[in-house]
Amino acid sequence: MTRRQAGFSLVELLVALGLGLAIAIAAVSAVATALRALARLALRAEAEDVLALGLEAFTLDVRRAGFDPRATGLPALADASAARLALQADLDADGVVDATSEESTIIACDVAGGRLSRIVGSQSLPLATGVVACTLAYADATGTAIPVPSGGLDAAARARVRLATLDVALHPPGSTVAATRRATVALRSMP
Amino acid sequence: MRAGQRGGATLATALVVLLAGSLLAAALSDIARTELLVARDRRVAAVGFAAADACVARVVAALPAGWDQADALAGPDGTSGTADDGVRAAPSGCVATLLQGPLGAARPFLDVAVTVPGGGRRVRAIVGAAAAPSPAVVWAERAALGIVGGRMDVDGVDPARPDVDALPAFATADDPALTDAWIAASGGVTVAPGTVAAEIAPAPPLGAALWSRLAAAGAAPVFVSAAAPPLPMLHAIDGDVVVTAPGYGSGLLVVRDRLDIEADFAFSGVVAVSGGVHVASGATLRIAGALWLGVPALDVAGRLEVRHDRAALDAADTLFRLPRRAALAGQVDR
Repeated sequence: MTRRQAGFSLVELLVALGLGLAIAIAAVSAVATALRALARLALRAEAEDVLALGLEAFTLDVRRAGFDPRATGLPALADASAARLALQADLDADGVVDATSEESTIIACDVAGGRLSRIVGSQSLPLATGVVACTLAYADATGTAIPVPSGGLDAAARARVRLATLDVALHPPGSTVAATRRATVALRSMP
Repeated sequence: MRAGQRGGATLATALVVLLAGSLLAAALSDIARTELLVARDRRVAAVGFAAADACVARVVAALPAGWDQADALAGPDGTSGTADDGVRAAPSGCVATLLQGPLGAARPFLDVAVTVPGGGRRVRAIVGAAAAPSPAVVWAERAALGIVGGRMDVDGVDPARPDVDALPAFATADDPALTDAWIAASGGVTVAPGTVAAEIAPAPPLGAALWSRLAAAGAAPVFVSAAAPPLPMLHAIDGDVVVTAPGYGSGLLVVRDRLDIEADFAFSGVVAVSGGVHVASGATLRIAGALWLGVPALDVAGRLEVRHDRAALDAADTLFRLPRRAALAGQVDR
């Protein structure tokens, strides 16, 4: 009798099982939700880092564009449109821009392909993938925006450019919000 | 015994939840730590950029004005081939060294290394020459510009050239606040609207380099004012010039000692005087271009008008390549 009083009834067992199951489901669900949030957070952080690195490459390229130790009249911008910016610099001071080296770089937005690239010679190096928006804009020495026609800026307009801006948005997988970044950089070698 | 079993199950569940929570916290902490490091690196990079740019700007602004940077390349001891070649004074945390560029002393490199908390940055700049032939309408060695008992009007705007930036009224090697104070104390000085009153600039190079170049360019050693505006000419007077009758001049007039104006005199171009400009009471000196002054500078009892005229400056510059202050002509991060 004493042993029966110490045991569980079927109802008790079922209630205990039910409660245990509910607690386990809640715990697993909470952990899973937290893991998903963690994964999203990691992806978001990675996207921000990718954008930051991409814009850093853009910044360094723009800052040095037009570096011309031999005063050859080197144009800093060989091409400038809303989706493509070709920059040049005479880094080795030989008076010539080597199109296959770091002296000639292109920042290229390809929204259809979801890519922001830096092209050096025949090598296209992806700076970011998953790009959902990417635009290049230009301004003169007074900060006034230079309108960009569909065919890109002509030589006279390119010579007026003193500021270049890159706007990029990247959509990390699983995220509902795009990571966005903007960099406006002065052409330090075009006084 | 069963009570103990129940306690064990609770403990196991608690441990599992605790373990999962700990793993989550560790992962979050790792992400946060990584992001903090990335953010710190970005901050160091941004501060490094700003510090390097500021150092380059400060060092370039302090370089002497002239035709090239040969003297600065020789270093503080003035002798080439010694350990201090190219060493320049720089702000704290920055080391700046001037180096020969591919075009020699006319377009040298300036290497700058800055140290900021957590890192540093190295930059190579190209030192060129300013586009404007004069940094100001009145370019003087010192902010104590002398006595203006009469009237002095300075205008940095050239209405004929809206494409050209207005020049400051005064540029001296001293703190612009001292020039402002001199303007306020003198009473008779008026700076036209649209003209910045004072800026800092290296002293105008009125020394031996100027005179040797003038001699090489065949500058005329005497000056006589003309009855009508003449064609631009190059004059280098190794002594005083006294203008006693109304007249005109044009081009570049360099006077080693004193310029004495005792009648109305108008000049188009650059007047550079090492020993002071005196305008007598009742006389007027009008300069369309720029006035460069050594020490002593001014003693104006009459009227002195100086206004920016880019065409006149360009004409003088064509006649004789005018000295310019150094300017940043390019920069690359290393």
